[in-house]
Amino acid sequence: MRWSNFRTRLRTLLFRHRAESELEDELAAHIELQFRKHLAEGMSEEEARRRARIEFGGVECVREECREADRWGWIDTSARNLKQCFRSLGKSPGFVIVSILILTVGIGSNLAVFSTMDALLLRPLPVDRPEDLLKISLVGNHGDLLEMPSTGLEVLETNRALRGVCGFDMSRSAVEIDGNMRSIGNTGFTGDCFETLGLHLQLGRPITPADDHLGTAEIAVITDSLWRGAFGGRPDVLGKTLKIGAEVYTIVGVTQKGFTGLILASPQEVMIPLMQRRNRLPNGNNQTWYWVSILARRAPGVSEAQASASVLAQRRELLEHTVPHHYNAADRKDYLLRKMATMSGKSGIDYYLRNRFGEPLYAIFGICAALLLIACVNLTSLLLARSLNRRREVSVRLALGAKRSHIAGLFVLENAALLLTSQVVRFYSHTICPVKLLCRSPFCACV
Amino acid sequence: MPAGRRLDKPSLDLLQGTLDLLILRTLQTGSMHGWAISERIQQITQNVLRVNQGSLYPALHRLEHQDWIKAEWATSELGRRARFYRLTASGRKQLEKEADEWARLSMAIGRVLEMA
Repeated sequence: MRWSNFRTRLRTLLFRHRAESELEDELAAHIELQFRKHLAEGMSEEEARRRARIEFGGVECVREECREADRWGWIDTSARNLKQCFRSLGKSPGFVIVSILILTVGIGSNLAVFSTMDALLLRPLPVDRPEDLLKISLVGNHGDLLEMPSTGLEVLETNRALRGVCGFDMSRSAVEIDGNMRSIGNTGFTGDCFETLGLHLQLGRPITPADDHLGTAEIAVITDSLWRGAFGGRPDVLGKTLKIGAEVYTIVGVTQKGFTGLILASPQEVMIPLMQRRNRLPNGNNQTWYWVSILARRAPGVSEAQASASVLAQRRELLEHTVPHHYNAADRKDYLLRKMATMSGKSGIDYYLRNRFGEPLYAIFGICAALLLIACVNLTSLLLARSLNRRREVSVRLALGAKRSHIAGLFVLENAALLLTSQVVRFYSHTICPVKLLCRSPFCACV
Repeated sequence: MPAGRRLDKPSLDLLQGTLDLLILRTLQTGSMHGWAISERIQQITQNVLRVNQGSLYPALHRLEHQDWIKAEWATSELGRRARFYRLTASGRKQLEKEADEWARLSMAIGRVLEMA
């Protein structure tokens, strides 16, 4: 369809009244010109007018034919159906409000719970082959999973069953960007984390082992969300700086879309080399290790069980190598007795959320699904009552020659309009206070 | 009676589809409103072809949507505002095409008649 053709048709569709009055004007001009011609031929005014009208024929008929020519096939029909649909919904605002509410709450609550479940239990990290990642941790006296000193990486790097090891340390600090302070989760990465995790960048370069030393130029990689949120997604973000405490970090890269850090439910939007974490140094500049969480990637062809067994076999060596120097004899003995655990690092690090909420979440999801079912039943009975009330209207339409399919189409369209409106309401309900209270978890960003 | 004169010779009904051709050809000489188009066709064919308004205006609208003619409001020679149509570039092409087809058709019919 050509553009100009589209334009004239669209104009007739949108400005129907104007098109109608133009048509009327056009036809009236024709009759008048014919009338003047007859006048000039010497007829009386009355006779000339009469003849002009007779010669023209049925004006209404011509008009209808012109409308038919202007009509734009299915688009025209749908536009009229849509108008009819809004008119009929406008007549029962109570029904509309109630059904939109039912749909909004029914679908919204399911989505909220499902996206929480998805984030907590299902969604893998957005990196290369996340199923190959292995999480390695120490186990405390109460069965809690602990971080270990970063010196442990040196031991794990000798393990042939692992292709790479990544240690990282997370915190939340006040970060200054363009003079504005924000509270931002940030992660210190050991040098080859980007390589080990298979984490890709959309802009700039990753943190490399060369950056992970004391005294190197301070750099940072930020996530897509921070890039868009604080830097407007502009490509000149590389070379800009951000301040954590007194340290100024130059931004050298932006990670791929969708990556928000390695820990569940707590976005980590700034990544810096672990050794540059001055704000975490307890005692000046001479600390050479940090407490870190560890993710390792299995070597090709090594199964998860094999990799795990091989890591656990290194327990003794690892503990002896990492025991902090300042521990006294009792602490040291206690430390050397710690156990180690490995588990899948597919969806990142999680210390308690999954254990605590995993099973209840399935139950809540079940309840929400039942709620949705109830909402559907309610809505169906509302709709049934409404169509009973409209029997008269339907009979009139049928009597006037409407096809059954046309009437069915009208009803479907009305329901579709309700559904669509409720989804728009749901989408924008983030900004409305009471609904936000229901939905305060960080997962709501994806609802 | 002037109108009576016209009724002496019966006028022919237009063949389906030829009206578009006649309108396009008439507009080739310049922009015109609906009434002028029908007058012009009548004049040139010496009242043999009479354009029925019931088909003229729908045809004009159809041609406009096809982008072959374009409409503008302007004041007519008699001081009455009217909708003037003019041929567009693609309308000119269409006219050439339809005129060719018509020539082939009439030649073919002519041959059949001569044979008989």
